[in-house]
Amino acid sequence: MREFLIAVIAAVTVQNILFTRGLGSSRLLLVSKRSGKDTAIFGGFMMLFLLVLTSFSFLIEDIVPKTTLAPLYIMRPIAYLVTATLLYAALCIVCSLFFKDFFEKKEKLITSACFNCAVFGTVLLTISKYYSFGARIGYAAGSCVGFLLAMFIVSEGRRRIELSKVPAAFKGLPAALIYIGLISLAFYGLTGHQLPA
Amino acid sequence: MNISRIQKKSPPHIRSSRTAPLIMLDVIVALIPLYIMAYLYYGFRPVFLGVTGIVTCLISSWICSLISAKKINFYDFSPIVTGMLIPLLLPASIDYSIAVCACLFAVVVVKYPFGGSGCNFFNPTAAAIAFAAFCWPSKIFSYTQPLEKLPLFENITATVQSPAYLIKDGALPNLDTTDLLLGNFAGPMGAPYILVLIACFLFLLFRRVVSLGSTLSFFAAAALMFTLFPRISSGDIPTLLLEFSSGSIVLGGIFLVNDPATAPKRNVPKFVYGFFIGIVTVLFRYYGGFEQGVMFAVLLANIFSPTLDILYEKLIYYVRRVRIVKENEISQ
Amino acid sequence: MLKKTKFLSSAELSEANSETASFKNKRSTAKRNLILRIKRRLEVSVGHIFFKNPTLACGIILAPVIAVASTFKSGAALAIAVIIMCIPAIIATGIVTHYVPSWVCTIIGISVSVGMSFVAHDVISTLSPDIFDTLGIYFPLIMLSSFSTVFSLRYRRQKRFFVWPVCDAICAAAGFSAAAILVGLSREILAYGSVGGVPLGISFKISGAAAPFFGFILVGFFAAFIQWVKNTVLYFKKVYRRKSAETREGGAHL
Repeated sequence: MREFLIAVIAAVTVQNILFTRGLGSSRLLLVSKRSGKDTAIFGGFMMLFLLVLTSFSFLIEDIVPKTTLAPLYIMRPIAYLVTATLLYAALCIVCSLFFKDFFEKKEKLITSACFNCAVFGTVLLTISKYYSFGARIGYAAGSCVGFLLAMFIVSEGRRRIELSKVPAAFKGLPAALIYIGLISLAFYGLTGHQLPA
Repeated sequence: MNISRIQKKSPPHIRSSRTAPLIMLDVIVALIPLYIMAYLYYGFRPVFLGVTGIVTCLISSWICSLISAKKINFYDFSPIVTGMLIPLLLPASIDYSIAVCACLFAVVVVKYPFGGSGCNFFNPTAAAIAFAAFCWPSKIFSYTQPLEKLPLFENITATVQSPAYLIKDGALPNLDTTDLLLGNFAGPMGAPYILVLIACFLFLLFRRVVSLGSTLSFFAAAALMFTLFPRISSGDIPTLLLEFSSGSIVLGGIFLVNDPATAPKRNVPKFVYGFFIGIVTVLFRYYGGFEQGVMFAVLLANIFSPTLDILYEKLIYYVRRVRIVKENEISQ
Repeated sequence: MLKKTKFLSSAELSEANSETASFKNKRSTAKRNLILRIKRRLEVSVGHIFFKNPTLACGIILAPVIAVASTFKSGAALAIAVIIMCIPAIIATGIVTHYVPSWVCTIIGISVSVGMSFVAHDVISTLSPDIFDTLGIYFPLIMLSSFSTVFSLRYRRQKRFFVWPVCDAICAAAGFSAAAILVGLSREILAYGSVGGVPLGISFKISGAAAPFFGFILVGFFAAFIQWVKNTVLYFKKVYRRKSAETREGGAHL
């Protein structure tokens, strides 16, 4: 339990995947323009994919080092990608059969939530940092919470940017990126002068 | 109604004697005593650093105005305030190039992409110091002994650690109460002089430039954290005096927390904002990567300042609605 | 046997000439329209290099550029990786998108990227084996680029013509490469005072330029530059159109 809590707090603050590593910035900028309901759906699916992939990490870590097809550096992400793709395909088939309307409207969100640098980056980082199940699940859950917190902050920031007298050259993506950069600078006060490993 | 009596005037329609240039002038006047103290302790170098900061901020803000096709507003004194405040948070031995770089970051990255003076989302001084602290940590947090006149333009190798670093490392600084109150120890150029800072704060309070709520709540929150979770458990000097005089917590609490562009606009949110910065500053000091944390705490709090205003307005409307419904029920 | 030459009357001649003329006119108009359509579609493709740069204008594959493109070599490695992995993925998406649902299209695009990642890994390790220490987890994350999703939506709305996915893929990869190399070069000069490991003799260095927060800020400024150029070009086009309309009206009055 202690490991779980420490991993959650670390993932939300000191090792926030967006602000300290830039993971998931494309998806964040895409989804932060949408409504709160869409953000909640995105967050829910992202948490689902993260928790499933982290749960399967022990099995994958047993199998992958034994393969000699390609270096481990390539095989490991591919193994997680295959797992996620199978889960994504199953989810799409189920949704397209039983929840057709929902799937037609939210297909892009589900795709963004699954094939997301934040999800795979978190899984790859968890494996190298934590070895117990509780810590890994805590880090994954904390990363998702940290990402959603970042999304809330950035969407508020984008609303402020739209309402203020931003120069025409900075409207939209440029001002949003500089905003995220300055928040990232604030988070670096926790880590000190260390570039992310 | 006689239409000819209606006069067309451009906004603002509610005017007062307090204007933005006057507020900035008051802040400039409040910063001058700090430069006088820095001159007494370190010689002319702090003054030249201040002038460099002012010139850099002014020229860069004028260039940015021209690039964004706006007229240069010569009555906008906020670049002067930024240019004066940034060197005060740096050591007196800092290189001129670092001070120039920090000032350029404040104006070009923090102010102008978001609309210029008054429209910035983050405090430019806090962001500039945070940037300098991350890029050159050994130079920003190394000082020289006070009362040693520093050479004007040469690069200085500073080796003295501030009390904030010693306390973070678990050691007890060898200082007495007089030294602490007068700022006679190694530290940022404008931050150690508690008595002078309190005088500046009272002047700004009298001129209604700073808010009592946000500043007092900041100091109260920091004092609460230092008292409940003290780092120094022994020694003759009270913990609070040692913690408040080391680092730039007092200077930050007076000048950074009360920035009119980035702080909330209403009183209750200002109180909450100051309290939040106080707690986060102490957390950064205890667990962060640097010996000072006020600039990072101010940046984090700037994210939430409009949200605090919005939430407070919603709360007021809810309370009013409930009161009106109750009054209607009673009258019926 | 000699062919009998049919002599047409003048009326019949003029009628035949007008039909040929209208047919010729229709053919030349159709040809002109086709050339215009091809030109406009090419402009859309070539726009991916600058005005619709995938990273600087559309925000695709931001994470690797922001986090690890801190030197010229790492920027170039990212560029090679995207060229090898993403061009076939976009072409496959373009071919397959009319025949399968979009979620299957995404899976096919990612599978092609995964397949090409082996080639990219071999090519980059031949050029610089140590670069993978710098790239870390960001190299495999290029397989997840949203190129397939974004382009599949465009191709669904258009007619099937495989040349355009090839053009779009090459231009988008070129645009990303330019952005990654530019960001990497700028950050290396600021943070280390060198280019590709060769020192330039600059004594003033900003070590924070290698951190992700500076990547966000630098990419934001480059994106603002692109937007400024676009706004300036649009402004001058508007002025030119207004002046030519005024000249035409003035000529008509005369």
